[in-house]
Amino acid sequence: MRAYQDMVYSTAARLLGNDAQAEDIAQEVFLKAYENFEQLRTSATIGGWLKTVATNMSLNHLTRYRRRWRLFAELPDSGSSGALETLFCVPDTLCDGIAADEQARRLELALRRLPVHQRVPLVLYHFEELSYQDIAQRLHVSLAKVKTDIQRARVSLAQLLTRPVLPA
Amino acid sequence: MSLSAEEQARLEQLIAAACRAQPPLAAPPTLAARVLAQLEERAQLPAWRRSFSHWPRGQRAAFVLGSAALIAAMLGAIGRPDAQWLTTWIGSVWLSPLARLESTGALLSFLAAFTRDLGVTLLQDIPRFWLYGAGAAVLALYALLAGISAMAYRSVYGMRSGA
Repeated sequence: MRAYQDMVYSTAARLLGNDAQAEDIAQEVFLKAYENFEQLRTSATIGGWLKTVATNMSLNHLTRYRRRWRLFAELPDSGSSGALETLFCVPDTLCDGIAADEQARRLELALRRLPVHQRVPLVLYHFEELSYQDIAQRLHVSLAKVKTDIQRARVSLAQLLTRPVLPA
Repeated sequence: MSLSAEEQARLEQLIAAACRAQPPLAAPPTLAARVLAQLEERAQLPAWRRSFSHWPRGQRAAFVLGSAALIAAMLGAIGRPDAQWLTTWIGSVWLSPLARLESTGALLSFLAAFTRDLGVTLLQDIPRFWLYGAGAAVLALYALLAGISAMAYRSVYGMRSGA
C-alpha cells in the first residue's frame, strides 16, 4: 500500500481539488483493493488497476456532487473566463527561474484554482494521458467542449503560473 | 479562440512538460492508519451487518426466499389469491431454467397487476381533491425547500469559497 499511496492520493487530489475528499477516495480505493486482494496479489498491473479505480471513483464522486449541487452552484456567473484568451500571450517558459519544489507547489495550487469543468479534463489529458475522445466519453460531453475546456484551462494555468506571486 | 494554432501547440507543450515534471503529491500520513482501522472494523462486523453481496450464499438464499414467503403470506392475508405465483416462484429456485423463467414471467405479471389494482383502488377510494391537493402541497414544499437551500448555499458556502 505504501508503494502506491502517493500515486492514488495524487490522482484523486488533482481531480477533486480537495485534500479531505481525496483522502476519503484513496481510502475507498485501498479498501476495494483489499476486497480484490486474491485477484490483485499475482497481478503485474496493480498500479494501473489502482490508478483506474482512483480515477473512476473520483469522477463518480464529482458526478454525484455536481448533481446534488448543480441547481445551487451553477447559476449563471457573470465572472466567466470566456475573454481570457483575447488578452493572453503565450510565454516562452513557465515559472522561469523558480526552484523545482516551488514550481511544483505553484502548479498544484494553480490546478486547484481552475474551475472543475476545466481542471478535470486537463488532469485527465495531461496527468492520466487519456485522449480527447476518451475524456469526452468519460465525462459525457462533446469532443468540442473537451478541447475548448482544456485549452481554456491551459491558458488559465499559464496565467496563474506566470504571475510574479501566487497567493496561497 | 484568439490563439493561433501554433500558439496553442506551444502552450500545450509548455503545460505538458510542466505536468510531466510534476512529482506525485505526498499522501497524508493518516491514510494508511485509516485504511487499516477500517479493515479491522469491517473484519469484526457480523456477516449480516456487511453488504448483501458479502453474505454467505446460503444466508442470501434464505433471506430472499424468506422475504418472498413473507410477502406471499401478507398478500394472501389481504385476500390476493393470485399471490400463489409468488410461492410458485419461490419453489422454482429448484426447478429447471425454463420453468424458472416461466415462473418469473408469471410473477412479474402478478406484480404489474397488483400495482395496477393498487393504483385503481387508491384513485377510486380517495377523493380526487385530496389527491390533487396532496400533490400540489408536496410540489410547493419541495420548491420552497429548494429555494431556501439554494439561497443558503449561495450566501453561505458560495461566499466562503469565493465563488
